[in-house]
Amino acid sequence: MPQIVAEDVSFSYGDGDVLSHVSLAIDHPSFVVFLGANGSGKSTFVHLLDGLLPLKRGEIAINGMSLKDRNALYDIRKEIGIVFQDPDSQFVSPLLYSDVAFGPENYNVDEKEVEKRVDESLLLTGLEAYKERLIQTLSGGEKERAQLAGVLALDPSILIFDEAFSMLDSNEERKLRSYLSSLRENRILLMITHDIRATLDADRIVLFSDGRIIADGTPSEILQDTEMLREAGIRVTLPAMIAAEIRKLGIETGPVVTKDDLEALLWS
Amino acid sequence: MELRLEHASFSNDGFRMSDISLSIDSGITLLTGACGSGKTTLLMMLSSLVPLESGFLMLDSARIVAHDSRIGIIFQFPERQLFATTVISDTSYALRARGEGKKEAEEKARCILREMAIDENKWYESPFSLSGGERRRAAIAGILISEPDIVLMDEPTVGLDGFGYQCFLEILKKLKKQRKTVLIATHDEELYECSDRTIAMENGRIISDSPNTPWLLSLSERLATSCDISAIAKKAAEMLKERKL
Repeated sequence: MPQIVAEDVSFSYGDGDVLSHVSLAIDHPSFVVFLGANGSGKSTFVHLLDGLLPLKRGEIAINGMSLKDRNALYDIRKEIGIVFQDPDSQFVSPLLYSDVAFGPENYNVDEKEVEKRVDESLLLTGLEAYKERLIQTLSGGEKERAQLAGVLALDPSILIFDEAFSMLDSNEERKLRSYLSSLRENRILLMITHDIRATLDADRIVLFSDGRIIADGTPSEILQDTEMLREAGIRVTLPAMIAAEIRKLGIETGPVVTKDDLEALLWS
Repeated sequence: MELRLEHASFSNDGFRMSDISLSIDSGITLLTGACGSGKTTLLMMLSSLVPLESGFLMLDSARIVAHDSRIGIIFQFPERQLFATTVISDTSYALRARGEGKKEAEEKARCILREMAIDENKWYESPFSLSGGERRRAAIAGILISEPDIVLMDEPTVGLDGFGYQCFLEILKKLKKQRKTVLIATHDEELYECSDRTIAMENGRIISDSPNTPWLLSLSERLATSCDISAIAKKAAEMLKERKL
């Protein structure tokens, strides 16, 4: 049975709909990227799923629980962890250990279990050596991982990444992608992004434009339609543009996003 | 205009930058390096926003010890610097603060907001009513309106979608045409294509400093064809077809 089901969801902040008649279902486990330009509706949709925005039109069910059922909201929110773009906006404690422990402590998890979860989360995110560090001394990428550790300590079945890759250098991005690989085996991972480079490991891409879903498929299907991506306001990389021209000449290329992808295609 | 650091040092919270010397002049220079390598700290040193423990900062051969208005700095997420009640008053603030009249300052603000593709209908609205990309461009407008000779940017393309990125590239083109000195701290590899030089950092040190060879140019040379996407694609397609046969 699918874990997330959305039916005919619409939303307005006041002046016209920013989300219009969106329906989809997401199974467990999977890694789904919500791709779209700024203002396309992807963040609004995901924040309806996670309960940060009130659902008034349409239906959304998480693990069979309706988001319109106020009695279910607490249990729904326990299933969901969110990693935002700006880690500084989520930290509540100056020390890494106590920040990661904050979430489970607030759910009345016992002390020994909190310690276990913190240690596991820090190990999973490569931060075990920084347990006693002040968060302000961490680099941008380390802060992003610290945020993730704090969310993992809550043990959610659904993890949402809101533009989480955008501040990372290529090394930190590679590390985060490898952590996501281990997390995706028994969770639903949802990533909100406008960057096609963040879609490479996804099972599925849902492309938003003007408040609607305009495409929904595998990375192989979506990433090769560079015209559609460009029209949806997605930044198409130079290697992807070259690959699109090669395909117009009748040669299959598969999805090409990075310079490494194109060079591997030409010279592997 | 040249901005030069000579044997400069700075340290904070255990992180140290020692004996840094570099000179930047007109054109687009990228500053690259892993998170925590010192890129942002270097920008702060170059803009006199942190005091040097040793060495000195020279602007056009004159030593400076405090922030100079000829240097503009665009911090990461510049939209966090928006504060005024309307977009136009936010954009014109820097000019008003240095004594320009409201009418002239707002006229210049209108010009630059038009260049930044901010919808006219939003100029007299709160900057917080703008979309994320518009806020970014409005914030950049508020810094560039003073026409600094030197522009330092910290990760300016983070969070930009396709349209926002194209607007940003237009801004870079204009700054280059105006022969401004631009230094961009970035992880964005695509900016390599429109920049002249790259300075790489690691652990608070400059580890390399070299002119850029755009990837597209080196790709065209490897394929022995002209440097445009269609020619490269055509040659690549021929090569792939031959390989299949």
